[in-house]
Amino acid sequence: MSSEHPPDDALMASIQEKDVGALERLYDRHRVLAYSLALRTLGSPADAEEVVQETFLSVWRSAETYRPERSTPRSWLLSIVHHRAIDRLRGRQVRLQPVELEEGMEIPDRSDVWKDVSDALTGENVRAALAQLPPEQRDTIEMAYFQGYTHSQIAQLTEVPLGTVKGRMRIGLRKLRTLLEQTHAEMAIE
Amino acid sequence: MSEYQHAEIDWAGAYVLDALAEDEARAFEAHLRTCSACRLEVNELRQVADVLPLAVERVEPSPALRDRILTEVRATEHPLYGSDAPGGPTPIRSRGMESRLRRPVAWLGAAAAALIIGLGAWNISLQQQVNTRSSPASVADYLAHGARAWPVTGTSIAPSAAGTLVQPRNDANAVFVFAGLPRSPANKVYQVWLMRGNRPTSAGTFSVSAPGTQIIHLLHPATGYQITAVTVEPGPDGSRGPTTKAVLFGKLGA
Repeated sequence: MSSEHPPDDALMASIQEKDVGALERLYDRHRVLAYSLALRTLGSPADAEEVVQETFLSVWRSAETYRPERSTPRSWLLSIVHHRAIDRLRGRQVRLQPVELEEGMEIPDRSDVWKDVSDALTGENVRAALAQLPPEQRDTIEMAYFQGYTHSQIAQLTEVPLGTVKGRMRIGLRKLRTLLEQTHAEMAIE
Repeated sequence: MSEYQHAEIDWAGAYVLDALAEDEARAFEAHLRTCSACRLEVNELRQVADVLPLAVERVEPSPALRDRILTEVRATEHPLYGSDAPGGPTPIRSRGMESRLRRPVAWLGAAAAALIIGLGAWNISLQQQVNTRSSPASVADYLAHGARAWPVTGTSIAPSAAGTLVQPRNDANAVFVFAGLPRSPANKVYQVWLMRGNRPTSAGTFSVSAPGTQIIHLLHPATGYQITAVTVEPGPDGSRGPTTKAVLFGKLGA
């Protein structure tokens, strides 16, 4: 990797040293995905831009809380976008930090096979895998993740028992993981 | 594994999708501290949730967003700069105001200010020691005759606010054009500061009583100052120096 295209981890290390140029590069690299996620969730370009602005300021101020062993910079950044967008939708006070599991909790090394999978995935791969889920699982996941409904709200809206909604979320995500791993394996063969 | 732990594991999907209410999420996190099976489940499902954003249709944000972010990032190094850090000031934005106070699309330059002034979209709200003599048309004149203009950005305390500080070429007093500041809190005024080094000079106070674009004429030229900031201070006269973090902040370049 040339120094002109430092990996995200290197950019995060520079941002921790208060290098504005590194933040600019991180923004240029991930602005479209960050904004697109916020826009999909909030529906309003003005709100989406505010969330992206808050997110990058949060990255700047809280870069030292990033843990490379737990997530990639892209995942960390997008999780902040998602939390802030959901909080805005629900009218809650913005959390100061994205929810992280606490010290001492077992975290699988992200050098495991999943890292290879997630690094290689494209938007088309994820859309295709979502399309293969049973509709009730896909709809439940999308209502929760992209539209910000809580599991209780989804149970009310769909008139499905709460336990079923929770089950659909968990089983749907498990199935999605399997589908994406298969996609990755097929890509490797090709 | 106990029955309790088996039941709780079904919360893992909702947890990583951010679909639990706040109290439910905190309760589940307490459970996670004692249940390795649920921790493993959360970690594996979170990895899947992390790739969901890839599925969204890609949309490019406006180029102005990059400027706003970088302006604010650079400004955060200044001690007057507002912060949402723990113990910091509370954002002065109410839900009722939020829908009306959208960030102007293109506030970061003289051309934008000239355009808005040219369209007649002003609403002057001046009081106390701020000079009221000039007309909005004179701002357009300034901009047409080589005035300098610097973007002034809403901090995290007032993220919907933005404006432009205009310094006329003839070294007349500076003019401040802005929009998006919430109504002045009770018994408080906004106070404009010009900073040379760490020394603040008050450039006047003003109130905001309605949303919309406002133009104020400051008490001094901005020439020779490095920073401008707007803080909330006790009314009606303001303070001798800033006592709160800035709601608007801008660097006055060379």
